[in-house]
Parts: sequence; C-alpha cells; structure tokens
Amino acid sequence: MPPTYRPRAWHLVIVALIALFDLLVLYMVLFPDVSDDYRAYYIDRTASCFPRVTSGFYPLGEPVSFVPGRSGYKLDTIRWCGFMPPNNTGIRSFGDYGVLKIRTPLPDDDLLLTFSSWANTDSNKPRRDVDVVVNGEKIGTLSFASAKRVNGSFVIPQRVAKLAGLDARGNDVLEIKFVVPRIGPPGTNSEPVTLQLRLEAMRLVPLGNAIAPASPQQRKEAELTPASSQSPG
Amino acid sequence: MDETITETKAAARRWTWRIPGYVLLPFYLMLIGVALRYAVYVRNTGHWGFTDYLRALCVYDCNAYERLALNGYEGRPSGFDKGDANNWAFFPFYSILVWTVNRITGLSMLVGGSILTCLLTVWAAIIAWPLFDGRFRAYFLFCFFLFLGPFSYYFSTLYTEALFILLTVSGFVLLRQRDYVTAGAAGALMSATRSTGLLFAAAILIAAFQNHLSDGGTVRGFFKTLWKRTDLLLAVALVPIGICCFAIYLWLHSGDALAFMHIQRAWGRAFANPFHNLWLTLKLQFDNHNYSTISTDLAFGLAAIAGMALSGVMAWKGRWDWAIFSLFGVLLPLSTNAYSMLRFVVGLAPVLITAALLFSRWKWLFYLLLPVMLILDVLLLPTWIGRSYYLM
Repeated sequence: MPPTYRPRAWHLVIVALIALFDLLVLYMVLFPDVSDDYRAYYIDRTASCFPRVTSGFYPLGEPVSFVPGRSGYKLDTIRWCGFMPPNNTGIRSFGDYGVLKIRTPLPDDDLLLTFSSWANTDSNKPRRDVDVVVNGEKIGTLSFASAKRVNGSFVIPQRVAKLAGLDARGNDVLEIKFVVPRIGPPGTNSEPVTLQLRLEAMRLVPLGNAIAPASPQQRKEAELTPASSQSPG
Repeated sequence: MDETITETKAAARRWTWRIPGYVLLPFYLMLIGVALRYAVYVRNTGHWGFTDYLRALCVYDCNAYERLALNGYEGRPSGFDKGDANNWAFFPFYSILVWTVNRITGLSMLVGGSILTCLLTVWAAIIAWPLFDGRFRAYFLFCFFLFLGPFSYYFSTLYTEALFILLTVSGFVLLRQRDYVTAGAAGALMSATRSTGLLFAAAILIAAFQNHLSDGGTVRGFFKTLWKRTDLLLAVALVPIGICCFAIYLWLHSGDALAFMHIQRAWGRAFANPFHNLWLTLKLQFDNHNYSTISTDLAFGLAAIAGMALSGVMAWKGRWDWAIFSLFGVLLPLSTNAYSMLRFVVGLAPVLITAALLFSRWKWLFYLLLPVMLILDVLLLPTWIGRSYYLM
C-alpha cells in the first residue's frame, strides 16, 4: 500500500516565517553596504588589490628603504595597495599594479622621484614594461629586459603632483602607481599572472633640492612632456 | 571480527544500553589515539607539557577558529601578505560551541576546544552506528580512521570536521527514520558550520523520494503527493537558516552579507569549472617536469578524485542522498580551487562510511589497513605539526 501523507498547517506557518526571513537576507545580499574599494576588490573584482589603512606620512626628501636593515626612512607608512610587506627583496608587487600613497605638504616645485627596483624576469624572456603613473597621469615607463636592478628617475611636474588635491588634514596626496604587465593566463585562482616588481628603495625630493638639480630648460621640458629616465643598476 | 551483528527489534531500540561496546569503542579509540599522539610528540620534542602538545597540534585554520572563539569576527581585512584576509571565511557555529565550553568550564579555548572536538567525534561515531547496518567491522574501521588514522588531528584539535561529521551523520540517521523536519534542523546547524551544509537540502529531497519508493510508493505517486509534503517543505526551508543567520550578522558587521564568500579571494578562491580546476591541479607538477614526487596539488587532485569515486560507489549502492551530498561536497570547494581538498574530503561523513564499508568487505584488507593507518598516524604527526600544506 502506497504511503499517505497529511499536510500540517504549522509547517506552513513556519515556512512562511522562514520565507520572510529569507527575503530579508535576499535584500542584504542584493544591497551590500560597503566602501568603494571593498566593492571593487571583493565583489566586482575590478581592482587587483585591497588598500591598506596607512597614514601616508613621508618626510619629503628622505630616502625610503623597503629592505629591512638598510638605512633610510623605515616606517611602513606609504605602502598602500598591491605591494607585499617589506622583506629582503624589497616590497613585491602583486596583481596588475602596486601603489604608494603619500600624504604630505608639497612645495611649489616639481618633484624628482627616484627608486631602485628589479623584477622576476630574465634576459631569456621578452622585455617587460612597467608604467609609472602619478595621480592618474603616466609620467614614464620602466623597461625590464633582465634580472638586473633598474634605477628609475622621473620628474613629477608640480601640476601632476597637486592633481589629487588636499586631504582633510590639508596634506597633498600623491598616488604613485606602478602598472605591471600580465605575463600569463589566470591559474586556478582566476587571478592573472603578472610581472612582480620589487621596489628596494625610493626617494621623492623637490627638484630644486635634488643633488643634481635640473636646469630650467629641463624643468620646462618636464612641464611640457613628462620626462623620464632609467638606468640599469 | 564478526561482519554482521543481528539484532532483534527490541534490542535495536536499546542497543546503546545492551551493547555498550559499540558506544565505548569510539571512547577507547579516542583515548588511545590521544595518548599515542601525545607520546609521539613527547618522543620527538622532549616536551611533556600537554598544553604544549595541544598548541603544537593547533596549526593553520585551528588558530583561526581559536581566535574567532576568543575575539569574534575581525574588522577591515588586513591579513596575509596581500593585506586582504580576515576571519570572515570561517563559519561561526563551531567557534560558538568552543566559546560556550570556555564560558561554562573556564578552560582555555585551546584546551576546551580540543576536548570538545574529541567528544564531538566520539558522539559522531556513536550516532553513525545505524548507518553501518550492523556491519561491525566497517564500523570499527570508521572509528579507527577517525581516532587513529592519518587525519586524526582534524578530529582532536580546533577544526570543524568533527562537528560537521556529527551533524551529517545525525541528519542521515534522521532521514533514514523519516524525521525530515528534525533532519532539516540538523541541516540548519550544518549550514552554520560550513557552506557545504546547504547541500543537505538536496539530500533531504532525495532521501524522501527513496523512502517513498521503499515504502511501496511509485515515482508518479511521489510527485502527485508532493503538495501534501509540508514536512519536506519545512525541512528544506530550515537548512539555509544557519548560513542566513551568518549572512545577516556579516551584513551588520561588514556591510556585505556574502562577505564569507567574497573574502575567499584572499585564499585565491574564485568560482570556476571544478573539472577544469581538477585538470589544472593534476597536470601542474608534470608541466613542471616533476615525475619523482607527489606534489601537494596532485595530492589534492587525487583526494578530489577519491571523493568523487566514492560518491559513485554510493550511487551504485543506491544511496543517492549520500552520493549527491558527497559529490557536490567535493565539487563545490573544487570549483574554487583544489587547496585543502584532503580535509574537505575527509570531512564528508558518507565518504568515510562508504570507504569503511567498502574496504572492510575483505578481511585481509581490513587487517592490513589497521596497521597502515596507525603507522601513518604516527609518521604524519610531525608533518602536521610542521605545518605541511600536504595535510591541509
């Protein structure tokens, strides 16, 4: 004899309550109340890093060492997004870019950005270009053709340096972004394989205070066309 | 060792009292297992402190569950080298239990949690007995695997495997007893323990269908009477409640109800074709021309294949509720990537029970497996304490 079943009202009452509860959850799922950087990184996956909460403090003109034990400003205050913590190889980028964020009063002058870097490549691989972008404007490109160190030196025009405006404390905001190329298809984690830039040291100095000050002609050129240079270390 | 034990109906109702050996067996094996691993720890390290032993055993996610019980859920993600991790990925029910034990007994999270895990495993083993249909040899193998097998540390430190297995076997025993609503409540607790607990909703429907057929019903009759099955409706509705409560908490805490899923990006997890992930995992070491060892990726891939193969065995044996639950219990984490597949497969009770039923069919294999598992338990302990990715 086939089994028989009897519907029960209290089952339906509880199911109705659960359905209301589920609707509340559905609303919460559909309408997350999150910051833009959270949404970009975790939900939309349009960002390749999640920013750290940092002060951005940087004593203008001081060299910053990203390698423990070396001289220079050591506080980890400007590593903002897309760089791993300092270690013996410097700070290593991950994802499509690494960003340093500086919050400091800037002088009415161009700035000279210098840094030493290397990348996980070698001379058997194609040349890899890394774009240096400040406050959204590209100021130059670094080329990595081997595993050797590459020292970058770029002039940041005053106009670009002031582009991001002031923060709530009246500091200028300088966002220095190193955009690295993708060098392989995504693996099982769906993240593209990108060149890993390793920054060992960095310095930002008003151009007028630089050891080898740029001539007025160079400064004018810097204003007109973003100047850049690089030298293999 | 007897393969089957015939019980009268009256005895079956009282088996926990009439045959205390079946109840005590997991206890004995648990105590032997703890003593053995402690002895191995003392032998290897020269330290006698039992708390030091428990601390050494508490690696990887164990620390996360301990911190969760201690401090609750963290704020803005900042963990790992990429600064994008925190503990939102860890489901709350197990840590709530650890916290409760701490509040009631005053034991530390580590000690109280370790004891709780051992007792949950014992409880799980006892409750699982009806699922073995009286096959004591298989039951013994299952218990031996839990307490003296190569993955025994999952069942003696702060991991969710013990609780999840307890809830899973409870659910399947309740389904066998046709108590769907209580099974749904067990499912709610499962989904508060792990995301794969949601899969129990499918198991409920399949079990109801199979029970209907075994009770003399027809396929057509099942669908015709489905509108009367308010018990099934309620049971299935109950299952997601655990995960929904967690989602509400996370929305209030972080603004993102699915934060437990989104935060998985920190672990390199993103949804993709699980079979493609499996293929990538299996061939990775050969792409790197490694033909001499078994890499962690290959080990994870093989674990996934074993889990799927045993799901196939369940289906072949007609246990479709177990099969679907286990198959998707493997495929769901595999769809994000293959990391920790060993742990995910070992955490699926039907897989362990089916393996025990299968391997205990041959006496020689049964007697061979016991020392093999014991040796692996001893040998792998230092590997586990040394934080090997293999065993994660």
